[in-house]
Amino acid sequence: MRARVSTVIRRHRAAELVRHAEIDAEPIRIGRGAGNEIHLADPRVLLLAATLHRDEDGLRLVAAPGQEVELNGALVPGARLRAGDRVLIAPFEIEVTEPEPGFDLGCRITSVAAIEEANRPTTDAATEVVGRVGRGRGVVSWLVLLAVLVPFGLLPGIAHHLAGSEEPAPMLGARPPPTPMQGLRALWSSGPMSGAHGFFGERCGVCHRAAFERVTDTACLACHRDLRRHADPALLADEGRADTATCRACHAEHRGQRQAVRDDDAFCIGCHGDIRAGAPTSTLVDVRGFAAEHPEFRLAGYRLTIEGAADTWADARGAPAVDRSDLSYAHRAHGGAKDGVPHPTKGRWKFTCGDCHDAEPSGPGFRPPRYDHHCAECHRIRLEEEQAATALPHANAELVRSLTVDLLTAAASRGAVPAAAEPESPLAAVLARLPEPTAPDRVAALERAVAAPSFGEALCGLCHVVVPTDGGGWTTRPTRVAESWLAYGRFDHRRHGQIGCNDCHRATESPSARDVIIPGIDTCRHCHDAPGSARSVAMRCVDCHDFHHLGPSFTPAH
Amino acid sequence: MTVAPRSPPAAESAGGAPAAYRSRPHEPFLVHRGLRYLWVAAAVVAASVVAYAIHRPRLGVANGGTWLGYTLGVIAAALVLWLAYYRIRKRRYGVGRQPLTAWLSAHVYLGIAVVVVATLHAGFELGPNVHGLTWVLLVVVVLSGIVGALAYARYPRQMTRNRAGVALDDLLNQIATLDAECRAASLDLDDALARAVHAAGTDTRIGGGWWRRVVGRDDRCPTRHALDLARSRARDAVGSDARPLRRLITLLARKDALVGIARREARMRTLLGLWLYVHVPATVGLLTALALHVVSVFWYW
Repeated sequence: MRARVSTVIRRHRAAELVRHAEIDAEPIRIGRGAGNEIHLADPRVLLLAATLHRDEDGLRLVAAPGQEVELNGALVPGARLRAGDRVLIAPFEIEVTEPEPGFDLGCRITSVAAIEEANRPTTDAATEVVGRVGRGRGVVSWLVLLAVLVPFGLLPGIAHHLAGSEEPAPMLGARPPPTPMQGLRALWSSGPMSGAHGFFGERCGVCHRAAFERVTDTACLACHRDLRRHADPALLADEGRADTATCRACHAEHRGQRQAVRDDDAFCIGCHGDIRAGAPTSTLVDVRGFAAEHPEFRLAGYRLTIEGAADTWADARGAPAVDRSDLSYAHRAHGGAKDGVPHPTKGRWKFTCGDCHDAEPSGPGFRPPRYDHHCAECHRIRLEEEQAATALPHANAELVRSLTVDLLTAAASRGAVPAAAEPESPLAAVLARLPEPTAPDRVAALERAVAAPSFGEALCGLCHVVVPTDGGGWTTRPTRVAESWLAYGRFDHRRHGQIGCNDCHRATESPSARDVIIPGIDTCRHCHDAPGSARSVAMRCVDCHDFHHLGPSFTPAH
Repeated sequence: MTVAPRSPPAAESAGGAPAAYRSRPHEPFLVHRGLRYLWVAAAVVAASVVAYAIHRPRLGVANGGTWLGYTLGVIAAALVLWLAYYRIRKRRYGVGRQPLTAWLSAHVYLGIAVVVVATLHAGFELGPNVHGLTWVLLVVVVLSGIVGALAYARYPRQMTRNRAGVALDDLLNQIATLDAECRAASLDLDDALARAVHAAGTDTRIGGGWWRRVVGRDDRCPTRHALDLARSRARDAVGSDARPLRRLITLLARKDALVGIARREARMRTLLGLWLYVHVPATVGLLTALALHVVSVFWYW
């Protein structure tokens, strides 16, 4: 069988070349192997892909055992060939053509997928092998920019802009949960709020009233209305200390649960170390710390009246403090006797401080002694010692006088006016001024006798100061028992419970009711020293002094 | 760390002015000018730490709102902007007195220093807000930059050694040539081996996706499979049958070696560029967050 085979050789970007070959064999083998008559040099072709046979009916294509070939688009194990048929033996296409004279077969072989193209993946440019540097970074960068800008910039900014100034949430009762917008604004917060302000922490506009403006004192004082200024802000501003006069100078917010108050000594000493450098008209004494350059305590009594006003009194600087309570009480007379004092029901009673000084239930000091609780057992108000059943109330002088007159008038009506057994007793003071029992104006005379200051002195003078009144009567001067003698200081007795009272207060040695037995600063220095001391308990300014002093004002003389 | 010797004195220019410093050939950027910028960065860090240590804030707590906090914040922000400018500067060849090596050296060391300055600026107070995000992005940028610096200090030398001076394109061309030779050598061999050789030419991947490039190997490499198959055939072949197999094995082994070199090259080139996929976007995020940080701080001053 003679065949003429035309092989089309393609070259990249080159003209098409055709190579012709004549074959004379029976059968004609087609395959990859070099021994085949039609040699298809491609690894994808089987070593022997198919054979061509000639018989009386013409040409017949037979695929290799167990294989198929693609004839005109269909896979067949074998078929008869005619001119125009196309056999695909990948990657070659064999087109059967009309045989030329003298030949039994004509075919044209074309490579439909050149081996060079099939090998392309390993011949890629280096940039494709290693990837294009930088491809995709721009997209990622834009995504990151948006991921930061939108949730952390645009949305909080819009939320802040829309919110404006706000009122704090109610301190008591149920609080509404933060809105999503408020949650977004928290992304601009520089830190969690302090515990005291946490209840409105999500409402930025409560403090921050306007954008790009620092928090003003007005915002703080909107809530802290009654807070006392440490000093006149105008004075500090004049002295170039305006920054110190603002709330934010001492109070830092957005620092979490940490105390939002400045409490270091340097802050205080910055002004008080040389107070007249900043305030030339001040009468305050310079203070440069607790250890060495702190002045002696200047005692100044004060108490709050029932109406809430401060009742204050103080002595001149340098003068010893004098108790002006107008209450006669000698500590030594009560607690100084080693074997105690006589008690109406307990025999000899040895006083302790706690018998009269009750600790404040929730405070650092003591409540002032009260007659009913602390004095009445021994010091009952009676006309005479033996008249226990006719004790008078601890009340105002007018009521006492009225009850005394009633008491004696009733006794006289029964014909049993007592005789004064004790010459210094109140009863003796009355009887000394009464006329004869037969006198017609005996009741009026009794009233006059009771109204005499000598009666008041005999009845109340042991403890109170009796003073005459304009109408010829008498009354007792109101007592002013100081609640504290440290007007600008603070001493917490609860924190010094391990120390005995007499370790600091020389009460048993005090003979006079005018003694103020508050210890001096040297007593404190036995245990306390400035911060940093390793041998004593550290003492800062704020341990004793409140910046926003809640007590009475002693300015400017103090 | 090897310390490079100090550079020779700068030559005087024709006009009498000192000429710009020229790096020694192949001087590593990390040791540029005798670690000059390491010392500059160390000085910045030391000054910041000392100032922070001796500073006594009025309210007792160091934070960005004190005078030192603002100062350190301004320094840190200026450093961040200057460090970001490096991306522009490195594309402007021949501009400025300092060579790009100096810029890169300063970029690395001052980039590390800015983390310390920014942390002291914040007073170690970080929270889930835009300020904390700024710090986190700064740390991400610096850490990715450190990874990049280490990569640039390590891989270029390894790449040169790996390719033995041959360009990657030349390497790929050699592989393509070997593919053609393998294909020709396999034509008379059995079908399974011919298919394997063909697959070795068509399916062997050197590059590919990120993971494939970073891993740098292919456990199911068609070239290796064809080589193993050819070796197994060679064990049973004798005489003239063994000759084409030996040639094919030689070709495939050479291709396998070249593919390994190309894959290592692709891996190292990928690692050299991979950190930038974190560094650059994080820098964009950092600059955005920094702007928001400044705006938000002064919005609610």
